[in-house]
Amino acid sequence: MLRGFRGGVHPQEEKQRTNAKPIERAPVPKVVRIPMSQHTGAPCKVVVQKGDSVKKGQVVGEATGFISAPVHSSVSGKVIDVGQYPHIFGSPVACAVIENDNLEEWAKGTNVECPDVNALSIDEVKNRIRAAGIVGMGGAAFPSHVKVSPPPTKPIDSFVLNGCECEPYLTADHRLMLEKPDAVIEGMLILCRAVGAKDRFIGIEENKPDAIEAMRKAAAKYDASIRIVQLRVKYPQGAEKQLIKAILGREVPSGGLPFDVGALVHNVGTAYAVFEAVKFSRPSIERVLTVTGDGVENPRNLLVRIGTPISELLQFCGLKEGVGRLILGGPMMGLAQFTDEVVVTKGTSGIVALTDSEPQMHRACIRCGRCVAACPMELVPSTLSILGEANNIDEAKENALLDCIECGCCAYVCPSRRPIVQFVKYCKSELRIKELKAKEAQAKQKSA
Amino acid sequence: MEKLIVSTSPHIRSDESVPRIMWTVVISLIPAAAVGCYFFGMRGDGTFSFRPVFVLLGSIAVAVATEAIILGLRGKGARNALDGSAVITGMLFAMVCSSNIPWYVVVLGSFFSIAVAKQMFGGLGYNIWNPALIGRAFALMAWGVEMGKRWPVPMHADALSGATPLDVLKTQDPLVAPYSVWNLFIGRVPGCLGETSALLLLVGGIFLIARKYVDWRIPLSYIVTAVILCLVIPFKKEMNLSWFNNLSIFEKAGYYAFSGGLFLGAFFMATDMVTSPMTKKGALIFGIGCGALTALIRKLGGYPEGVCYSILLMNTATPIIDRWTKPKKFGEVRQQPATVPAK
Repeated sequence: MLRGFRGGVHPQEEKQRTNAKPIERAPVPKVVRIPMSQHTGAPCKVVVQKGDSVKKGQVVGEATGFISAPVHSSVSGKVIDVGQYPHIFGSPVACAVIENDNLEEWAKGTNVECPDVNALSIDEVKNRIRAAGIVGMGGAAFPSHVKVSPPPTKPIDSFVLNGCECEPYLTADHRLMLEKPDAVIEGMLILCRAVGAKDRFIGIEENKPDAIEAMRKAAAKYDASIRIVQLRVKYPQGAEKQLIKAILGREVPSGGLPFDVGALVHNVGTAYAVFEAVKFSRPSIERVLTVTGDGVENPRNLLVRIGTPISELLQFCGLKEGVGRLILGGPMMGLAQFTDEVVVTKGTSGIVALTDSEPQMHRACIRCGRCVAACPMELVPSTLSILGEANNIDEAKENALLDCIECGCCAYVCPSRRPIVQFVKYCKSELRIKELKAKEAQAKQKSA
Repeated sequence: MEKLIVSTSPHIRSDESVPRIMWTVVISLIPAAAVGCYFFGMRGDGTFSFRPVFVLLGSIAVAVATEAIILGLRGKGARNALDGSAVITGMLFAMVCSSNIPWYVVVLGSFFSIAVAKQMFGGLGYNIWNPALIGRAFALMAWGVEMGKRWPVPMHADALSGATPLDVLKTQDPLVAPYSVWNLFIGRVPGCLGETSALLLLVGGIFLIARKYVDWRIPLSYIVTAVILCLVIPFKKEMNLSWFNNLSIFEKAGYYAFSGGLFLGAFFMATDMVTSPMTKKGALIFGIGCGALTALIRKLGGYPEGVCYSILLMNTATPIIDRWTKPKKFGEVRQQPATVPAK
């Protein structure tokens, strides 16, 4: 039975540009730049200096704190600079710049095949995931070793592999499932074993029938209990909470996490990376992404080294005249860039170059209710936009501001073209600043 | 790399826009307005008076001009007066006036609708009440006779005035049925310029529902509630009309449904997005409320028609209806968790 979730929208899929194109290896760049912040959580600390020689897969940034993941060099060569460089979020970030010596030499201890991953202890599995710097590759880039270490009071009974790829334009996950289904399933089983999940599901939207078939065949080889769930195409079916609702029928409580309902979700790209890390001790140094959009001559699916400049990939695929916007990720939740000097990070699922430009003016809310019908979190986005416009942060918080997953469904349908997600992001950041200031004031009071 | 636009997510939008919605509503009103101009323009002797057309176009022109001037003065861009919403208000105001209305009522009423009922609140999106209905209420207050007493009879000489179908039920005493249900349906009865043709209003309304610009819940709940309550609530004077009592229940229902401004109000006024609730449940409550109030005013109130005031009263209730019917957010903790958390 095809369960689903309330709300959601149906943008044009635009996947026909690349969904039949096999993954190609992008040319390895001459110079890579490894940012210290590629994940949700504390940024890494640089542990190399200018002049150091590094091997492929060597740690160049150490994790700081629990919710953090190390970053590695994606090539072997020499560190030619350590400094601040443009980053995908807008503000510059510390990076290690490495010149490729083209020798492709792996670091010591990496690229070693483990004969039987099931013989490893669960702790060893988690260590390998952590050491490899695996983060969620669906886009949020949350450190995976943290996800597989839920609190002991929250056992996981169900694992869901996320093969939805609900964003328009993107086809990287689709091709990965089609071309490497065995590795993806093995990665999934490693993750299931790590948390002891008995029920196993793979959720795939029904616009990928070939991938569904490939995954079904592969899953049957390894574990007959894995259930492939075909889901109706609706954005954002691939959002974690909506996926859990659709497949397990459970709603993650407001303010909670999937482990609160005994569930764990991982993207297919992450599962593949986990397989590489645990089976072959290969750190997270490359990923599949889709370069597409009407501004690209030859859209394709590419296997790219982390740290590859976007400009090189765009050149490889051919950029047309008149590109107005460069979006990293998908068009619904991705980040528009002001420069092509940024590099591919672990969370970059796509590069979408669009030639159109958006009109700037937005109108007042006409209270049509389309956003209310579209919101997958069942909020009232209209109210949030009005409160945000009025700079009323406190009331916004009381109106479920923090439940918003910023999926963009509301702004997508708004006839007044209101930048609702922008208002929400603004309110959230103002709230964070307020709470930080309040904490500081409290600390000062205590010490005074 | 040329200059890049750094938009915020989402970077793609649906085709919907405010002008598109507004102009589509304008188009859906044209059939009913046109047939009103025809019925009230055709005189009994075959000549055609353009007066209804002038009323319609004049009201639209005044509305758009007023909005353009005020928006310009407010610094919000006079060209936004062409987004279609002022045209709708102008059309609706004309459609709730009788075709023989003096020009100054049209001008001042249309002006009032835009300047006071809409722009004074902040413009599109900020008004609490339906601007065209506020204009009508204002004109009814200021020029009660012109607005509510001298109804031209369609396809007859200008000077002849008759009673509207609802007037007949409330205040008149004819021995036979003055209007057939069919004439009521197509609109060949005395009444406001654009409210009489239930048929064409239905056509326009269904078009808007199919385009998803109008929530079907409002017109359906409004009309059904109004008709049922009209059938049920007794009115002594009406009970003495033998020709009415001899009608079948369906004919009576048709009489109640097609007379007055019910169809115009249910499909085009109550459904105004700005002044009606945002949620589906809210839309139902709103429609039922409008229907109930219309029936109460028609049967027990002082006026023969209740649509105008019932919608305005429900507009007042819209914010609280929105609050009552706010969706329960995803993950709202609805009941105690099944497992007891470990200590």
